[in-house]
Order: sequence, then C-alpha cells, then structure tokens
Amino acid sequence: MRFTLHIWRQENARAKGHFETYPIDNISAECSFLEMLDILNERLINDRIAHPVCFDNDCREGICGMCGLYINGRPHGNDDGITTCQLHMRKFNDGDDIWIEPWRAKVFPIIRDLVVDRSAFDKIIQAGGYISTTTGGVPDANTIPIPKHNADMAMDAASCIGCGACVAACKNASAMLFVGAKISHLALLPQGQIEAADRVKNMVAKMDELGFGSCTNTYACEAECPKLIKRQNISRLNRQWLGSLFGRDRKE
Amino acid sequence: MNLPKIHSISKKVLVALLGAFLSLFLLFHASANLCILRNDGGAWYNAFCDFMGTNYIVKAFEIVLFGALLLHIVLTIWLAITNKMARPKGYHKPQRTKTHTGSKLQVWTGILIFACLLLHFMDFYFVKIGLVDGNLNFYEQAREKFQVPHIAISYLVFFVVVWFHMRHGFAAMFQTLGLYNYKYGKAIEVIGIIYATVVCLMFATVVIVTFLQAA
Repeated sequence: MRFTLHIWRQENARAKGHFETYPIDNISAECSFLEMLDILNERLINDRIAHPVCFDNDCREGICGMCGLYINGRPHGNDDGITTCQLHMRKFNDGDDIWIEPWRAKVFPIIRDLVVDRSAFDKIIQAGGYISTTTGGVPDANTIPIPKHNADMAMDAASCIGCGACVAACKNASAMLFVGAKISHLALLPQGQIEAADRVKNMVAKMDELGFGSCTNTYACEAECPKLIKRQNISRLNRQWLGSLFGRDRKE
Repeated sequence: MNLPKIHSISKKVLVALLGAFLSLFLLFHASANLCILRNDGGAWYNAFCDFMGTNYIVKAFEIVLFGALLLHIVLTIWLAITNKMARPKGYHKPQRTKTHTGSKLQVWTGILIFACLLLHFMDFYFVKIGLVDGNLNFYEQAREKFQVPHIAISYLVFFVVVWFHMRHGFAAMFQTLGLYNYKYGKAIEVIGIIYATVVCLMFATVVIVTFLQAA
C-alpha cells in the first residue's frame, strides 16, 4: 500500500511546529500503524532525510496506554475500541492522505513531534486516586461480599489505561471520563468507599487546578475511549461530588 | 485573566438547575398562551395578563426569573471561556468522532434564543413595562402579530431552536446532576424529547392556529 503522511513535527514545547509531508510505499495491509511509522523512521534514518518522528509507545497490545495519536480527525484512528497500536493499515485505502497530530490540550504540552507530557493524569491520581490504608496480603475474594453488578461496573471502570484519548477527543479538553473512571472503580467497591468523599473532592480540585476543561455532555470521550468506558462514570463522578458536599460517602 | 475559583462541577450543576427552572417556566408560559385559542374575545388571556402585570408575588417572581436567565447565561459563558482556554491550539483535521450534535449546537442555539428573546420582549414584555409603545391588550396584540406571515414564521423557527436547546439540555441536566445511569439513561433521553416537543408544540399551536384563522 502507498500513503502520503502529513506528520506534525515540533522540536520541543517552545518551538513552533509544522506539518511535514512524507510519501511512503510498499506497506503491507497487515502492518500496524506504529509498525508503519517504524518503517518510515528507518527510511528517514537510513536515507538521512530527517530526524526520526518521535511518538510514544510501549506494549503495542493495547494495555499500557502509552501510544496515542490523533489520526485523520480521530484519537487512535478510524476504528472503535482500539488504541493506536491496534490500528492496522487495512483500515485505510491505498493512496490515502493520513494526517497525524499529537493530543492537543493545554495540560498536555508537546515534548517533541507527536509525544505529549501526560503527567497531569498522574497528578490527578496523586490527589486521591488510591486507597491509603495498608492492606497487607491479598485477602480471599469471598471474604468481602460484593454484588456482581458492582464488581462488573468497577472492573469496566478499572479498564481505563489513562491514554488521554478522552481529553484529546473532547472539544473542551476535559478529563471527566478519566476522573470518572478512576473515581468509579474505587467508589463501587467497599474498600474504596471509606475515603470516597475526600477522594472525589481532591481529584476534581486538582483537575480544575491543572486547567482541564469541563464536560458539556458531547460524549466524544465515550465514543473514542479505547476501553469503551461509558458516560455513566461521569454521571457517577458528579453524583459522588455532590454527595461529598454533604460530608458523607455515598454508597452505590 | 484571573477568574474566581469555583469548581467546574459546581458551575455546571448551577447551569443545570437554572435550566430546569427555565424549562418549567416555559411549560407554564406555553400553558398560559393556550388561553389565546379560547373563543372568548381574549377574556381569559387578558385576565391572566392583568394578573401577571399587577400581582406583587408575580413581580417578585419576575426578578427571580430574569436573575435565573442571566445567571444561566453568565455561567455558560464562563464555562465556555475556561473550556476554550483548555485547548489553545486546535487540530488541523476537523473532528470525525461520532458525537451528539445537540451539545455542539447548544452554545449557538443559546445565542439564537437570547437574540429571539430580545425581539420577543420588544413585542410583548417591554410594552407591558412601558419601555416600548404598543397595544396593552395582549390578546389583540398577539393575534395581530401572529397573523403577519414573517412574524409567524420567525416565531416557529424560534420554537425549533428552543426545541433543540431543551432536548439536549434535559438529558444533560440529569447527567450533570448525577442522575443518569445504565438503567434509566435511554428513558431520560426519550422523556427529554417528549417534554421539549410538548412545550414547543404548545407554543407553535397558538401561532399556527392564529395564523390559519386569519388566512
């Protein structure tokens, strides 16, 4: 397959970026998107054309949350429920123009080319996305009764890999789906309910302080989440936050 | 620009509650308008307008209503500014994510509603409080206005815009107040569409019937 790539190139956070066009051919349809970029980088280095294109990646099997590119107007490209590394070139047509951009948000400054600094997510987690008690060894699962429905919802929320596609997709660069998922997977379980009120207050305060936008219920985040995390988690976040105003933990 | 620190969720909850209040007022307004359709020479409608214009509780309510409208607008603009600041540089390629169009239209339908409201006030409310000269018999005035084709069409377009705004606003309010869940999500959206349709149809019926009676 043959493509024309338009890739965002930027030296560092302060430098002015621009799109650079790279034609590429002889790409297998079974090639993953990141493998295609690897081939491009190999050619850029071997033919001494330019500095290789920088992009984040790690596990390349959709579980680490490191990769994240805005491809032809969609975070993680033109497919649902996948990360960039799970996108394959068969999803494109031969001869397509492909525009590749980094996540765009004030809180995700560009480090270089397509690599952005997503440490804002870590700061939100540090503000309360944990259980502070020392729990010792792992207890037998059957000693803590948890309704199946709650366990399922907590598991769904816990599947968030923190890739930032929700922020990238949201027209307001809002992190409500990310925070909603992190709040939910703890608040739905008995171990997380003890600190639920403080957790939601602190995480929302940190989210606002860092400069994320607010949710205007467009649900682009839900549509683009590679782990298909639902908007109901945002509603639960709002519910938990309202509950925290009255100084009590709200049980689901 | 340093804006006071209020949690984003607090602002959204306020916008949602004020929106709910304004939506309920629209239902009340639309119900009152149906009196125009009574074949009594405007006796009921004018009596209602007279009550609304002279009762002190209503006058106090008017202040609350305008305060709610103003706060709804101010908070929305405030949120829109902070949201804009969250992404100083946008994407080159237009977004191709499949999303609810209602949310993207909400700001524009809001601005349109505000512009239409000003024209509506010129026709009726400003006449009532004496800012603009006009016929104080509101039954006659309404019938005169709605019999003019371009005014009738303008009002019908206005109701369509209100429908879009309310349709999205209804489900969004439940989401913001944390009441949207897996069980009732779809039902809330359907009830929102029904509520917006009923209110807007009530308004539109008065305009259409009055226009057809003249034709």
